[in-house]
Amino acid sequence: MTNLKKIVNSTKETFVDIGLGFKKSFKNFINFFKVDKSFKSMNSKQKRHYIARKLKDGGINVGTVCFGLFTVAMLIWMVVYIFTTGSSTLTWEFITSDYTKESLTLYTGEKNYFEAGDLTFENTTNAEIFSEKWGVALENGVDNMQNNIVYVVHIEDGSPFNDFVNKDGEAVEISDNFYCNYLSVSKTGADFSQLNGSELTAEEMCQELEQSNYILGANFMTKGEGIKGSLLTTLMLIGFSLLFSLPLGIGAAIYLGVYAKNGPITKGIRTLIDVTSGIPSIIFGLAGAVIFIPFVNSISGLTGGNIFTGSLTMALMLLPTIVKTTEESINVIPKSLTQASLALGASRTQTTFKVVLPNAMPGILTSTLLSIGRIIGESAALVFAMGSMIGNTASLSSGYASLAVHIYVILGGEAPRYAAACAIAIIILIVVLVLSLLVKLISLRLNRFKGAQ
Amino acid sequence: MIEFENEQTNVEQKVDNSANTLLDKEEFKNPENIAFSCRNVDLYYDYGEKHSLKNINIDILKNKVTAFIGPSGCGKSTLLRCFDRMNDLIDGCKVTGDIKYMGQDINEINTIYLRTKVGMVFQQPNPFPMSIRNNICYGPRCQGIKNKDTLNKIVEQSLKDSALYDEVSDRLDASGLSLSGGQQQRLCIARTIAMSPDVILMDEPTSALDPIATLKIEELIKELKKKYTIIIVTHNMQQAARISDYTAFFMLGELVEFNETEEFFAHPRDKRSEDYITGRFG
Ligand SMILES: Nc1ncnc2c1ncn2[C@@H]1O[C@H](COP(=O)(O)OP(=O)(O)OP(=O)(O)O)[C@@H](O)[C@H]1O
Ligand SMILES: [Mg+2]
Repeated sequence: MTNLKKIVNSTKETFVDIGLGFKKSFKNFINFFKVDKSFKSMNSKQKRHYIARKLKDGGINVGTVCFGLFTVAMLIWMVVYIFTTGSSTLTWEFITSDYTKESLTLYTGEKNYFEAGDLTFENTTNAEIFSEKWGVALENGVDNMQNNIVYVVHIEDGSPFNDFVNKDGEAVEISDNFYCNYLSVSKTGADFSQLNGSELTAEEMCQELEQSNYILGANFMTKGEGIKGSLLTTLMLIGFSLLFSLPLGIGAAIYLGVYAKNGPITKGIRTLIDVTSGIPSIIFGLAGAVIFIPFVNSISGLTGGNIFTGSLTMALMLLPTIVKTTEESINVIPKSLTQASLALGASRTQTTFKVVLPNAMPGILTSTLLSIGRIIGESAALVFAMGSMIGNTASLSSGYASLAVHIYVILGGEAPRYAAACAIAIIILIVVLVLSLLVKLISLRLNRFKGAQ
Repeated sequence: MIEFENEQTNVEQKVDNSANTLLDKEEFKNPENIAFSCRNVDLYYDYGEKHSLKNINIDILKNKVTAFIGPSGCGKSTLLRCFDRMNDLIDGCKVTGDIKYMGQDINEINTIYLRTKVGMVFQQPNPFPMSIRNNICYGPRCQGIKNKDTLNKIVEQSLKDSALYDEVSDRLDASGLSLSGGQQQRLCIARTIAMSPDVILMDEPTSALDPIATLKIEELIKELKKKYTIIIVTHNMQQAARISDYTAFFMLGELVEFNETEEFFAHPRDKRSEDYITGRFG
């Protein structure tokens, strides 16, 4: 409860800060057009000086305001664009469905066709588009690429649509997530045509059906294009990366912050950590490809990139941040606390685990959250170190794409799918936003020790 | 690095007790009475560059309050830290000479055992950022005491002994940091008592407190000396006079004078002690 309040407050503070900043800049901006009362009593030299200074200051002020506004406008524009483009694609189905489409080709069995009978069907549902002749209710829909599709939402008892069989002659039921790709129909029984779900609306298709007397076959498909696999892969990647990097990073931070004497070796390690945190991620990807992939494969017998190679690479990339943030939070723990612990007869290890680590927890959490943000956003390194094939599910043994890599893949190629990419971007943006709010909240806690010894 | 071996130790084997007027007294003759004894103790900081304690010879009597006074930087805290070997934690700090605890060389005593027997209260109240109860249980838990009843008894007894029980008994699970400065300092004393030590070292325990809180702690110290040996560093000479049985006066790393408190303040033998007491410097 109090935590919730804190979150709300810190969010409010952030916005108030931004607001105040704007107000101040705006005031400066207005002041530019005001003239001091003392201006009249100045001599000409003073006046000239006054005007020159005013222009210079004003120019700088206007400049900063303009640049500031420009930056903010760009950011807002980007976010608004992403949200407007992606929001309609971002549905629960998009999140939970497979990437590849599943196709279901239906046959009519021994007779090779269904013939419409004389009787008409009664619409027992409240669907608006209903073929009385065939006893099916249709509905318009859109797939994950924003194309129009047609669903068969209801099949009446006794309708020939109940009698479709698969290639092997077994009866099939058309489940809800399949849409109608095409129906092969014929008016006379001789010339047949295809009613294509992506070209016709449900209404048009219904009309065509009413005029047709024979159905020869059909094809149903799932929407596909979903991100379930990439999402699961990302979660798995986060899990494994943290599993590899947190113990190592925290261990190293404890070594540096608690045990290490300030010698040349420690200094060397610190410098190395500082330097590695600036290495571009593509180079880590390279390292992952040439070191981790052969290494992991020689142990596990897998081929190519997989979750392990990806998460080892990410772990390597995250280590400097984790070590640095954790060590910093260990360093702000007042020396008096560790001294008190030792003076009470606690051993060094006990002091580390009972005093140092619990109090470094905010720092460790912060670095964990920052790490999660980085894992979610990383693409370049993972393309090489894990893989860029979009999967329908996550798997330990194969390197499927993570969310960021998913964006990279669907934006490549001849028909970039901006809507889907924006939908994924929304997910990533929201996660990152929540993470940074949490980090802000935690840093409030961390401040508790600042200023104390 | 600088070689600093054998600078003092070999030159002077004989104990120089000119400053220590008490070594000949009856109570100090009986080794049973002595908690700590220092002989020819020298201490160097910064790998031998800083000579901070010079040939200290002093005995600390059991179940008495011994006060260390002297101008800032004279080495009071340094000597205090020798007694529970907290100086070991400082890089480049080296101690020579003999320090004995209950007749045993402290370098031969396991530091953890030594620190359970010799507790320390610091200048700034430094409770752990955890509940009052857990603050007190910290030491016993580190020694492997897990039984809840035992721990509860320890908490109650320590709080009673440190005169804090009435004030906090109804909020033992509140954070130790939520107490006032004086209460925090008494919590730190309670935390130390919970280890059932023999000796309590106090480094200016009241310097961060207001007069009323100070008074409470002083009363507490008078109460505690029935059970514990207490060594207290203080800048406040009235305080030393009020609560201590023996007073040691240090200057520039030397023990200038060590005497019974009344005698020390009434008839200081050394010119420097007299100047300090009368406030002519320091
Ligand atoms: N960790 C250290 N490293 C180096 N020198 C130190 C260290 N601690 C203390 N000293 C030095 O040793 C000398 C004695 O210090 P100490 O802290 O014992 O003085 P003190 O008598 O307690 O003074 P105060 O009354 O101000 O607390 C001082 O000159 C100080 O600079
Ligand atoms: Mg001191």
